[in-house]
Amino acid sequence: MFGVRGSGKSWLVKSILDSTQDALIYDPLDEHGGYRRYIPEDRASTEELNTLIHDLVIPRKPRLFIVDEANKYIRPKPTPLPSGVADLNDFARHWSMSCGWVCRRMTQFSTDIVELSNHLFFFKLSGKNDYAYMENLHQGLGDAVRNLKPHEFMSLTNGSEMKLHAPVDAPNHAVHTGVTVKV
Amino acid sequence: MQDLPTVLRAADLRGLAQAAMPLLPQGAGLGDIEKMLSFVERAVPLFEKFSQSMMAMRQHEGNGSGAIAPGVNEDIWEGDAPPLQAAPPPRQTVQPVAPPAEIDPQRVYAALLGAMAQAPEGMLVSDALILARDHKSLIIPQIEAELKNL
Repeated sequence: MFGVRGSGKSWLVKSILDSTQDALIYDPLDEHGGYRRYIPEDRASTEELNTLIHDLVIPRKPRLFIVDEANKYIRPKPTPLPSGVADLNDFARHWSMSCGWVCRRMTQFSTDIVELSNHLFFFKLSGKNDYAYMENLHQGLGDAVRNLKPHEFMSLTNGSEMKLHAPVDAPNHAVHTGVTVKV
Repeated sequence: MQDLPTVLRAADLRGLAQAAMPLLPQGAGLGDIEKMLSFVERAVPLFEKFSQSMMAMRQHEGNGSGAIAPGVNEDIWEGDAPPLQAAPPPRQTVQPVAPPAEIDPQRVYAALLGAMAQAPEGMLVSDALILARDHKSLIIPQIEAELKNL
């Protein structure tokens, strides 16, 4: 799931989390109060995410596991995927798990994960490189995403089915937690 | 996941790992399962190699029980070949290799079942094999130590 801050990603994430009780979200920005979540001690640490995956996620196999701010941990090539992420990418389907990766821009994220995903969601993005990336994924996707209205999003399913979506309804726990407001 | 707290932090993760440890011998956590699985992975080829060696030795002994001495080519003689002495054994230039240690399959089987019974709930053999494969370099020395106990 891609989109700049404030584009509507979090509400879609929360709506997806509402779909099952057996879910866990990696929540480095402490935004997803009300949902079962892991808040890392060090939100820049890839190792901490990897440890969680190996020690809890893979043994427990929740129905749904989502990593917010995933571009902090899963970098574009040539950086290798963290071992836990690679295992989820390879085996999640066999374990009847769904994994979601949420980040701002696809140019900051691993193409391996993008190209193997069943469903991609794009909120408004207007960067030149992002446009080229989306057009490369599917012709017309870059233009469609550029023209999205606030909180609308496009989905691309199995690399070919493109669909426009209206903003999602308010999730069960809509308010972001842990947000520090500067006065 | 419903048995876990709604908000998890690193300390909770460490607590979960510690809670799982008493189930396993010597506080080694998942490492012991990996150790046992890797041990089996190593032990099976050893069994095969040992049995192949035994089969080869028996076959050789069976062939050597006939009347023709080793080294005699009976095709070049008309009638009976004169009695010949067998060629002397070749000089030993390489130290003999010790045969692979004999390991009781029952003990391997029991050790594997024991380890899997202590696996965390929900862990499948396939999961354990994946972990074992990923940590092979750490596990091989443990297997070598474990082999001495069986």
